Amino acid sequence: MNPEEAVAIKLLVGSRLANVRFLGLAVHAFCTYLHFGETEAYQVQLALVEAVTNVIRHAYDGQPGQEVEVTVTLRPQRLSFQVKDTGRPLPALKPPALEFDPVDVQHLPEGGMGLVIVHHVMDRVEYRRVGETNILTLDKNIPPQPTPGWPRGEC
Amino acid sequence: MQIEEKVIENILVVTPLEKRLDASAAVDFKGKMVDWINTGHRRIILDLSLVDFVDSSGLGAIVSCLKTLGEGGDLVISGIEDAVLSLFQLTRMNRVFQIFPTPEAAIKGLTG
Repeated sequence: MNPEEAVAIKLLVGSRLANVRFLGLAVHAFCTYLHFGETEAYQVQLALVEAVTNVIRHAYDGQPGQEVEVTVTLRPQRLSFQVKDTGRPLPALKPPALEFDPVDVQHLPEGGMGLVIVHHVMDRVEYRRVGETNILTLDKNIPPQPTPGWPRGEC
Repeated sequence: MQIEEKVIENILVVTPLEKRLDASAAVDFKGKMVDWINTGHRRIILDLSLVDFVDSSGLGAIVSCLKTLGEGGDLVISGIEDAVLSLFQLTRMNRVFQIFPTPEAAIKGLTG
């Protein structure tokens, strides 16, 4: 791939949780194509699923009929995802501490793990509010082994 | 969500038959599990051998089932793929649940 070249695809996800799995499957396929290992491909899929689920639940309050726009951009050494929605502003995306006593079952966390996962998996996480739009940018460095590049002239 | 259930040596073994335990499946999964717990099952093996994706909502539902079991109950995991196991490690829930390679190994672990 030409170092100056970046290619992108835009995916629109309707704001129903059942739709998120199709985004997840697409992200996993991108990662597999780029020679991510199985666990890493799973984790990148997981991060995107968590980010978009968070948008549907919190920015859109679980209401259907809205859209989440996910732009996937491939650069020579970086896979980037930009997640955009027009829902409520999200609180600062500082990852919460995930501290708990594994023996104290009744106080184990049942939620609040999504953002921890996103921050742990991705190499860069940035959130901005621009006008009425939430923009979450997630970057993942591509493993150093040879990659096949994006299909060219086929889209 | 379709879940196969069987009882072996007084232990309930539940096997989700779908590939994804995610936010859209978690409520249904939890409802079925709570129904089984409320019928008196105290020791449960959750066999994830057919599941290739769990997100934090699915994991939260599993944790909720453990809480519902309360003291004296056991909920252990079997058949988990390495990738799914990494979710448990990322969230440190691998310190909470006993994890066995197979349901048979889990039965031995719970009865031994």
